[in-house]
Amino acid sequence: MSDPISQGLGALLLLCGFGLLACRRPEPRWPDPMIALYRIEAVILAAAAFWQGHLQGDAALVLVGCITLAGKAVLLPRLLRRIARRLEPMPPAPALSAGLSVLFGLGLLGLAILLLPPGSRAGLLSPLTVLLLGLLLIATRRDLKSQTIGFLSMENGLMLAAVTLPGLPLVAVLAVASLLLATALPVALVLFGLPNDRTAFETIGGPDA
Amino acid sequence: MTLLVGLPGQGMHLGIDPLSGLFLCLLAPLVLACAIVGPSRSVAFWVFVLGTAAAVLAADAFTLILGFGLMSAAAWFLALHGGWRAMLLVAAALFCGFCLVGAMYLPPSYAAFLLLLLGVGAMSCLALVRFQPPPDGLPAPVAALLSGGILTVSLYVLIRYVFVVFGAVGAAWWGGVLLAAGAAAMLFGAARAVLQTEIEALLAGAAVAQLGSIAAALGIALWAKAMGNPALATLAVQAALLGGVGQALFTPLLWLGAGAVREATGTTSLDWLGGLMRGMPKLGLLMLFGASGIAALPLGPGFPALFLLLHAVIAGAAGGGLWAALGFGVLLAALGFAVALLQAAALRLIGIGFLGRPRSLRAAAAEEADRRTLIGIGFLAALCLPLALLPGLLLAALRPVVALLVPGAPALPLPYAPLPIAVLMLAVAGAAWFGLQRYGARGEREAPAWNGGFGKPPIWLPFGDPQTQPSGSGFAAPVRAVLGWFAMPHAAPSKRAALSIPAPRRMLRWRARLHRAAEGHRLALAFGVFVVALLALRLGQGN
Amino acid sequence: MLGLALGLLATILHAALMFAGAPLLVGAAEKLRARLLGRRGAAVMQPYRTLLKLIAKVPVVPDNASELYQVWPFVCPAAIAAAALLTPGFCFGMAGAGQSDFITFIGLLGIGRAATVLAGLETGFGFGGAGAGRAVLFSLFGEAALLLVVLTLALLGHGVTLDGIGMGLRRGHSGAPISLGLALLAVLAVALAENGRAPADDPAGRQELAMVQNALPLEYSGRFLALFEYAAMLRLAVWLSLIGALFLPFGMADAGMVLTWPLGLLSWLIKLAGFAGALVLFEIFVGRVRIFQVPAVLAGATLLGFLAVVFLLVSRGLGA
Repeated sequence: MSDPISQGLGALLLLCGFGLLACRRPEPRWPDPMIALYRIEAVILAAAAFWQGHLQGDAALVLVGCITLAGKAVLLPRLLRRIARRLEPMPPAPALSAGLSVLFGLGLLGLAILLLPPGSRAGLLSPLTVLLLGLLLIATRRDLKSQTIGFLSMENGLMLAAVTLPGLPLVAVLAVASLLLATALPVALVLFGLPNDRTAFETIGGPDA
Repeated sequence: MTLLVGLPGQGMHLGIDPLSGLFLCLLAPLVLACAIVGPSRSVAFWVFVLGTAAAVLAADAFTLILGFGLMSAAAWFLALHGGWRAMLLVAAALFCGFCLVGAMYLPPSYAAFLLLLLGVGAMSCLALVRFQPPPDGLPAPVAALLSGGILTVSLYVLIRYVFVVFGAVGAAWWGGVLLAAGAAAMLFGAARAVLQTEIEALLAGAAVAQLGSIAAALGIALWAKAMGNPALATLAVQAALLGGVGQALFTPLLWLGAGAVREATGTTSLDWLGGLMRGMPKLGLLMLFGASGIAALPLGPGFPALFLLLHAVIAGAAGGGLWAALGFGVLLAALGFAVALLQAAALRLIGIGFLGRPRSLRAAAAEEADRRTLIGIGFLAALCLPLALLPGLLLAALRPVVALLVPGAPALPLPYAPLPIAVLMLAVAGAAWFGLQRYGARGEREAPAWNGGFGKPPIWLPFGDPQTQPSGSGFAAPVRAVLGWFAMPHAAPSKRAALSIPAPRRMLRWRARLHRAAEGHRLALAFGVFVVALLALRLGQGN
Repeated sequence: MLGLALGLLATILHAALMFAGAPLLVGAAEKLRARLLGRRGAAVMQPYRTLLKLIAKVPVVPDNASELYQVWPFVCPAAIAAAALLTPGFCFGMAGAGQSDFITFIGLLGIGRAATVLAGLETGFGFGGAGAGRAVLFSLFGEAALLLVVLTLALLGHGVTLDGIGMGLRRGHSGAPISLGLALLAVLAVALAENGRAPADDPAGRQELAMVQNALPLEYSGRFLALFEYAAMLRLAVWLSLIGALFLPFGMADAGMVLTWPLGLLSWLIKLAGFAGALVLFEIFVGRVRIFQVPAVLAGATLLGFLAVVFLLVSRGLGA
């Protein structure tokens, strides 16, 4: 569970979580940094699943890796980009500056260390912190895209925990269910129409409502 | 030693031990330098000196209070003499006196410790904020004596009470409080130093940062002492003492130098100075040396203290549990940031104020400071040399003080030897110089600066257009932009505008703003509640 | 006695190679970069020729410069040379090993930077001043990251001297390789910014408005400019050697054992060549970021350093 490679993958996922927090305006060279970071997260997650499958000799985990790669690294970003295009006029509206949100993120890292019992810290620190960082992202952004990605990143943290905990039954089923859940949100947004005014998960609000 | 005057039946007690001896040795050069630079015939000047000596030599609380009384009365008189608003001074002095008297007569406990901390902090702030930029004519040597004397004495009182008087009852969290206060002061002072335009304000910020680093070192020592780690406590106390020595030597040096600049040019605003290195080269070199102390660069007088402090933090992280190590990691990052800010401030002081082109005619016409000033400042600089080049010897001389503060202190060799490094650098630079003289083209040609091809400025602008060179505020602008909310901009005029609105409407506006904020941050609020609940659950659960 | 003499000999060899080879490193990197970009590029020995040409020219001194104008060009390379003598290159246990404290090392590089910045402010013209302001801005965040890396390495290698850390890590470490990797990333970011390389600055850039490191000695010429250029080359060699000695301490020789020297020299050469190649590749594929994003990159390095500390402590399983 706490072998160097899975720990390293966890650390990379954590870095992506912090990167999502620090994302601000898009660059001409890198038009959609948040979706790109989400894609990187998905690839890391798939790698973690493959590695655990290799370690435990479990075909289900390899399957999970394949599902993750196909669903989260290819399908979901495409869906997200489509939504993002429809949301074009709405700029990301952060409630906190990048530096402050990363500092808060560090505080959440401390909280995660505090919450975990000493024995399981090495393995579970990254997943739990990624989960908390996703929550922070949802809480501190006011635009729909960031919040959706925050939700998806949170779900990635959960998946990482499920994958790295050895001997969890039905992990493949879990993965599929979680992927469905993750897909449901953007699909619902696309199908049932986007509110084209400035509304996110909150029905009222926004920077100058 | 007991004097007959004093409290009825008891008299006054004076005593000298290594700690008070050290602080007397630190006060002496300050007084001497200030007396050389600006000989004062005022009685109050010498009463102040007497007060500092009484406070440092005091062996009972009454004598200490008497020393404080003499100091504040003399300071009040001197400041009044300079035509000051003295009420604030009196109020602040009363506050400090109240805190300190309370701390001294309470039984040694955490309440006394906190009162002491408040009093000492208020005293240092008083010294730095009220004495430093002397806008209405307090002469620089007097201001330097007042600030330096008060800072040295307050540092002495802090060390004396926390380590000697309360030595037996100190708890680990006292160290944590002192450490946090020191780190905050360091960040705050360094940020001020890098953003201020007046040299005096810049130096005051740097002095706050320096005091903060001393307080942080003392906090580590206190923590380590309470945790039963004398090696770490020794390291930290050494850092604090070397920091105190540096604070007492190169900070007054810079203050006196700033006074000389004000005398020569009529201003200390970096936006109006520039090019002083050509008009006043000797003062410029002395200021460069002092600035290397602020920047804590190797071979400068500020580096040994910083070196020991950083080593103490690293040793603390290596020796403690998980949370202590994490805390020391955060502290290390904060220290690194503050040190980088201080380096930027020192570079700005020298690069904008003393190098470059003059930004005003008075800066262009500045003449070298008079001999007395140069001798006084040079005296302080000469005393800095052993600190800068032979810190190991100095630490050996400070052993009795360390042994007094940390009983059972082990002898730690200093793994930093500036002398070989200095010799090495001199050798390399000398070899390069000789090689270039021997094999390179000889001599040099003087020409107008290239300036990206703009060539020589027109005749009616003898130093070029002042607008084309970076100003003090321009140099700091990128730092201000990056520091953001931490930079603490000046009070915005909009505040005054808001106050001019009638009260009921203001209330309404506030209510609306609060409402809007709550709406926008509803999720954030929920998240905050969630985090606090998690924290409370975890802490309530215990281990 | 013999050990001391060997240590001294190793130091002299190290200094000779470092001082003589630093321009070669830059020349080789430039050549590789030109080749990868499809140009033929200048000869590998070009930096030597440039330096010799500069030395042979009579320098032009601005008429409004102070007396210290001619001092900064000597301070900067002297400080970096002192740092170079403390950095382990091909072997551990050189004569300066006891003094090679990491914090002293950082301070010496700081002296070099301060001398360069003051040189940029010397004549008080716009480009040097703008470059100085930017260089100072970049230096704000690097220091914290570097100190956190020192903490990580000190915890992993049980030492605070460059030599001690390197030897401790060569013996093998008990902690997480993750922390080492994160610390390496942090050091790389700081090293790139300090050397004026890709994401922070463009070493080949000659456009005044965008220059940072190159804008500082803009008013210098002749032998003074040669000293600054040489200092920059030496600094790159010092940083690459440092990263090699701390993070890849394999094959490093011991000063006391002469028979291990050839292997040490060979591995040093290979490491430097590899780093230079990686640097060039990185610079080709990653462009500069905007000036106000460089502090964000370096703050990211601080975050990496902090994560390195956290992962190290957590994986050690220290109690709460």
